[in-house]
Amino acid sequence: MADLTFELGCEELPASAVERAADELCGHIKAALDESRIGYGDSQVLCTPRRLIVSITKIDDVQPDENVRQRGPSTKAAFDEAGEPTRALQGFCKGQGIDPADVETEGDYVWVSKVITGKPAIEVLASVLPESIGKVTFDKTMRWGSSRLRFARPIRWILASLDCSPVEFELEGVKAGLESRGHRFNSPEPFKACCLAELVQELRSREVEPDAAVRRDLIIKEANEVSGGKAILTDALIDENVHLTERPKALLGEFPEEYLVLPEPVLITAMAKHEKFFPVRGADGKLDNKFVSIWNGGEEAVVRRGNQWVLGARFNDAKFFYDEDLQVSMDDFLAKTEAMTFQESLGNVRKRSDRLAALTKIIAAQAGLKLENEAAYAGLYAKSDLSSGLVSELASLQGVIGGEYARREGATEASCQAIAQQYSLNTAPESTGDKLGVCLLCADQIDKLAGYLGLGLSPTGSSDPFGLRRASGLLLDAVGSFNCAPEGWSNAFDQALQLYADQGIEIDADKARELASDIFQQRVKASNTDKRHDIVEAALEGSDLAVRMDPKLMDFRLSVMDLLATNEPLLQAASRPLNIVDSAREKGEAFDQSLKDGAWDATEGNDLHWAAEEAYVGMQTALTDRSPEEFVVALQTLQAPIDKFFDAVMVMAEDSTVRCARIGLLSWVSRIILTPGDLRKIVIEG
Amino acid sequence: MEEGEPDFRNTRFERGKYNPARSMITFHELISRLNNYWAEQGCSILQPYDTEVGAGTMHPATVLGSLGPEEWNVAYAQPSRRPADGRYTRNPMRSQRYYQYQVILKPSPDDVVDLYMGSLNAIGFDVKKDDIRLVEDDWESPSLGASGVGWEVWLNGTEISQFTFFQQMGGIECKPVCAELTYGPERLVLMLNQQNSFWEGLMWDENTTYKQVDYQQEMQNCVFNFEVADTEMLLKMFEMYEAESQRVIETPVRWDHEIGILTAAPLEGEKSEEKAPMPEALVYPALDLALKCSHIFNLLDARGVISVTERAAYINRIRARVRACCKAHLGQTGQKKKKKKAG
Repeated sequence: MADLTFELGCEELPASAVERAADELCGHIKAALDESRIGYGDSQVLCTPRRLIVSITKIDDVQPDENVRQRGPSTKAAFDEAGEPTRALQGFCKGQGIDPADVETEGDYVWVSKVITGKPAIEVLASVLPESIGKVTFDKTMRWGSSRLRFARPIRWILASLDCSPVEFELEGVKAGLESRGHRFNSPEPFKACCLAELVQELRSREVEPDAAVRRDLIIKEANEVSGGKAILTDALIDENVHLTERPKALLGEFPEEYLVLPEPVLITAMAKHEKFFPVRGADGKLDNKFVSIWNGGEEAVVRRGNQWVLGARFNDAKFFYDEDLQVSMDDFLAKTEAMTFQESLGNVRKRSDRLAALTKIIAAQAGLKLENEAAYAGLYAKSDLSSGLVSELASLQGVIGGEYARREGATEASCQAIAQQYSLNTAPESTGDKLGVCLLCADQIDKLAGYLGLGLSPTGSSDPFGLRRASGLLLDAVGSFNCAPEGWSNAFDQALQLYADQGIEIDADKARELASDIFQQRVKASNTDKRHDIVEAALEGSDLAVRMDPKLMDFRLSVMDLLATNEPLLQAASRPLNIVDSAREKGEAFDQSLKDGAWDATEGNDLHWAAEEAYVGMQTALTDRSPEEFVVALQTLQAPIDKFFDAVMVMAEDSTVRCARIGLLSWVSRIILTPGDLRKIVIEG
Repeated sequence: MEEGEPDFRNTRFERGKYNPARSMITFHELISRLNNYWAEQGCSILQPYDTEVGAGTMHPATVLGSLGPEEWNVAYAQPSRRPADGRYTRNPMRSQRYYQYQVILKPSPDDVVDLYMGSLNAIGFDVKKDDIRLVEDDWESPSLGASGVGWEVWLNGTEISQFTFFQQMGGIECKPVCAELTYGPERLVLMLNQQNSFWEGLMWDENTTYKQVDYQQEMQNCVFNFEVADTEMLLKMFEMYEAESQRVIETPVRWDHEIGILTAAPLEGEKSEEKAPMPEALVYPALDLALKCSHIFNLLDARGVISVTERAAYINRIRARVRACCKAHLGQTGQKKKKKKAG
């Protein structure tokens, strides 16, 4: 048994891909060994941005022999009349490398049994390793030079050692061998390594820490050390630094205090997002004019000076615009949005602001927030920061900057928070500001959907150039955090359409409703792929925009259908009135819905009538409480009266008055049954 | 650079006429160091293209040079125009017209990263003293129908280059793949000198400032781009250049072998058997016209007169023109190869 040490050396891989690629590579190699019937012991994976290392211990030296039985030509074709081998058989035997005397006859064919001698593991690996490299998947792959292989970045060296013997293969001009390389700049010379322990030791002496977990610990430890434990160490940023470095060290840098006047999100974005630096927070909870940079090479003083230079340049840039913005009021920013097109047929952003003010107010009221003025302010000034200098430079901070500037003018805290949070959905809003932020987000999406869909610009296939699917998804996620009357959201949508009309902007409201209904239906289907198709269909049947825009109501309908799917007798009973009403409608029968007891000339009719009255009350309560179990319990009370009615009564009576009254009764019962969708779509299994 | 600190940077890599006694590197010196370095690596040093382009990538030496099987190693500085980036000189490091230094290596050599690192040493950095990173950055130019995979190069946290392996140009797969290295020379000079603005202290050469060369041009063009340019007229010009680019690329031309010139004049009489199997085309003039479309689009975009819905359509129209040029160009080079083989 021997140990495999395998290192794939690349130009810097994308930080987000490193870890997964290494794991995949290991998985592919093990799967290929399994398929080759070669046993092995433990495996270990290490990785840096420049190398994926896989080690597998105790690999069998030789693949076990394999017995194979191969069918040859038919007996008739294999031997001539004299019983001598024909050309066909000779050809077959030649191909198999055996003598015609060694074939067996079984049934109508000749057969050959052979033992295929197992190959040495090192030979198997010579094809397994390059094949496994080719199987690793990435979000994006590339070719380089004249290569045909696709990989995340160019492959530059391959170390493949089976207990010090090189596994010999070549991939895109790179010969596998026993050599690795150290740190790109500090130790680029090739060196030899035979086993994992040696490779790891040599790498460490060449300023490469191959173990991502060790690099992670190092980053945390050093960042805490240099900052006195004050660095803001977020997981995502740590991970990014882990896979951007082979030899992480932390240094503490400084920037001029004058930049601390910049809003905190501006400072943090420049440091963490743009530079991958960790911001540092003082004991007073405010940001320090310091940062922690994780560096991979060079001389600390030079790197620090460079880091400080670039951060200073970024802050200087931001400060320039911030100072300019200080001279401008929210009203001036708002006025400037008149020059910004929202959509050529939907007018400018200034007009949109008026719509958002009205719509946010409506939605806030609907959500039970008594914040009329705050809502109107947040809506009106939501998009003002788009004309500010700072947002023109740091587009990712739209909203956040607006919130800061509104606060500067003394706007209420709820309004400021709402403006700041309008682009990032808070699914568990706590403060009134959080809640108003969700209202504003909803208003934003509804206005957008109403406008674009009113122009007929709905997404097609994979193309959604205006992000309307995203808008609808965001809206459904947001809506989930509110308790609101069933009609609320479609009312809001209608109001949004009306606001366009009030501004004299021509859109097709009916078209908008129709397309919105389609989009939300798609969202319902897309977010319920784990549910049975027929159940989703049943719950969607007969649903309108109001239902589809209300995820809680939709969930209620889905749960009811789920419960009904396991209750076959009820399903069958409940389907009977629905079916007969449909067929009566097709035949053009008249419906008498006055529901006068006795009109149907059968006591079973009276019983059904009163049972349905009672069930209706229970079902409505269950609907309000969003309790699918109670709903089914109420529906269940109808099963016996329905069955009794159908057993005793001939619906299509000769007397047309009686017939109309019976159909009218059943039609009324049907409407109650159809409340959560059409249960007839449910497929009974078995 | 902190005051009183000795400047060690410029003493290490003397080249050409640069006087190492001076403490600052000039813009001119940086370009000439890059020219010298890449010439030493076997690149032909070209000159900037003479129509407005948004990036060095749009120079025909890259658009057309990145296609086809031939080796192609060139480098050049290219003034680049991005009207939307104009800030009336008030952003110290952003302009609507600035310079790019561009290297194309086809096919991308195995040691392309090392070659690039060598260029950093050549211009005055020391890759062993600075912290240099290759950070994932995939590049795409929808209007060129081009895309690539590569990195932003960070030097102590500052992005100093785009490093891209072209996968597609004009919607056509690049075979082989070329490496495109793009430097921002102004920023490199500022970093080497520890300066902070294009407009303060950045020297073009020992006698002239960058400001003297480019300030008026920058300021006036910002006014033109954002305030004065006639957008109605630009919209018409876009249509005209687009139509002309299409007409030109579709105009039949042929080699007149007797005189030895390319001509659009139809053949006299019935000598049509001379028709080449792969048609010649006026690729360069048609590409120039497509580049005009691209620049006009950028101007209109900077003015905010192009809405979200129209934007994609305009970009598609530019791409269609560029793609037609790329396809015709490949057809021609294919023909030349065939001829060589036949001869």
